Amino acid sequence: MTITELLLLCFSAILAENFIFVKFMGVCPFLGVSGRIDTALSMGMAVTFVMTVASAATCSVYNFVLVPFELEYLETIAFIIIIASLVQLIEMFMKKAFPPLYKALGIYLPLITTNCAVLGVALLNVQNEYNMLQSVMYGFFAALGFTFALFVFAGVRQRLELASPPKSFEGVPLSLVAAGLIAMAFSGFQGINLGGSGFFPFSLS
Amino acid sequence: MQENKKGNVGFSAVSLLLISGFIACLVALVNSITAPVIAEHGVESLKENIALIFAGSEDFDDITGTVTETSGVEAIYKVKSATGGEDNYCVHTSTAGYGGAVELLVGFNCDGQIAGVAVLSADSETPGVGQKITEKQFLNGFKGLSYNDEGAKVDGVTGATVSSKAALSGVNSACVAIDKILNGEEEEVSA
Amino acid sequence: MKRRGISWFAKEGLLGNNPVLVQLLGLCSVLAVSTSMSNAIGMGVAATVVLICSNLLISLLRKFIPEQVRIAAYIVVISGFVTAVQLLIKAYFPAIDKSLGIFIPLIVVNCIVLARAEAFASKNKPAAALLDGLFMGIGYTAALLAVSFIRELFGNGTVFGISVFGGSYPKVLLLTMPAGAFICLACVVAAVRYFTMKGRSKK
Repeated sequence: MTITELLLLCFSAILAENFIFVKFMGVCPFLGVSGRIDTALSMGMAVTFVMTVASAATCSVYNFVLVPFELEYLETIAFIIIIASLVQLIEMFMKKAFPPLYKALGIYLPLITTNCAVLGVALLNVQNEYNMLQSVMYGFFAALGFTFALFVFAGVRQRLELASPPKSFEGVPLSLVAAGLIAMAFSGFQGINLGGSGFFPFSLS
Repeated sequence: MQENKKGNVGFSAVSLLLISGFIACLVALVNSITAPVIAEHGVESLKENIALIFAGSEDFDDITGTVTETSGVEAIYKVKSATGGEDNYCVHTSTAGYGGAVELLVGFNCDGQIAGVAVLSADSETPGVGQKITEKQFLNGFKGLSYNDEGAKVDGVTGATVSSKAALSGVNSACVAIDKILNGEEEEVSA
Repeated sequence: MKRRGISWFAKEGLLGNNPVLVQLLGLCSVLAVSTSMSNAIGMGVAATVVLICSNLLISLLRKFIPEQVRIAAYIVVISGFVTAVQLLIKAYFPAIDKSLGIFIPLIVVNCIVLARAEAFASKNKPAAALLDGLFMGIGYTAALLAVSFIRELFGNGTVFGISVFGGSYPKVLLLTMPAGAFICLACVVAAVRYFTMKGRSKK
């Protein structure tokens, strides 16, 4: 794994493989807390923190516990338990050590357990056979992409409140349409030529 | 969680443990039933795909470990020819496509000519667009090219550049691997 | 507790309290797997089986699960059933496993399952919990089918993979892309709201 490949992984985790707009993970909290920019940022920070730590924790449990005992099929159960207890631990730790941070992020922490982005990143790390460094980087940058999407969308939603759509479109449907339009913009990132190196005999005509 | 419920902590822990134990047994039971079936599927689908490329060929050996790892290459198989000629090769590749991995099986004749390409998995590609890379029209473009035909061009699928490129880089990785097999490995020369 | 018939559960799951279209739960999986109707059926059935099993077990154990650790217990039960279902799909329907991929294990964090466990199964008798799981699952599957029907028919010109409009049909590619998923779901939710509001004003 070269530095370029690692950078590529990070870059595509934010844009080309954005968790919300391309992979559809974490849409529920996304619709729930993207009403205002400041709450969106707090949620994003909490998710980033948990996802990075969870990536490291699940990666090491998978490689040092599940694989040696040939219990790979228990990965889903193991990961969700790790994530749930991790969230619980972080909540207690924050309450004691950083009360102001806890005040800002506290109410979002329990929501993170059922955020499919967190379990999703853990499962993807295993599926893509990422090593420790890659897992942590992928977790961190995918979460950054999540935060970025929340932030962008919160800005759009604050404007949407001023609109007067047909009654049946009010609220979530209108937000979904707006999300669809942003997703369209994000699909543009897919076309970026990521280049390559080495021995390449064939190319597209 | 509260102080006044401390007496219940033991009870909570035990009951949680019992529930977890029960669930673990259930999952272990299901796993013991399904594991052999799942393992069989892998071998069978590989056999089918190899037969797609080399009609009649059934015997193959995994020779992945004989050469150094090539990025994008999952496995290399030596396929016994059905007509009794020299052995052919199949390379299983996995490259990043539009929504996930695109997995190919690239078949090479003994002299390194591409005998055929089969798509093992392109399920995360967009239906109707990216999934067109599974059509014959695109895959046949690779047929007859040799692993060292530098500069050869292949027609991509219109509107599915990312998926086409994924398939292309899969075939290219397979070429790298087959180069190692046929010509032996050379010392890494830094360019 | 008042007795409720099957029709009450059916109405609740399919229309009045549809988990996707009314409660707006589990949208992630709806958006992701609605590209084709066969995917929708596979995902719907998988989620329904998990819902029925977890509802039943949680309802049976509702007197034994201590209050403070109930969420943890629910998560363990749900993830156990999800893993079992995932292994069965892998063994007997490998094609579905391939196309749904990571979204089968993600049923664990599908809010529908946990929400039904917490809101219904933990407070009701096993028979009622089973019916609730069944019809909530059917409601989820119906919503998935509705969205995937529109996306597959107009986006790809097919229904269950069978061509409907013939080869010259100009496909609405937008619908097969992520953007189309959001917009299509928005329209289905809005349509359901429109008709329920219309129905209510008539009364």
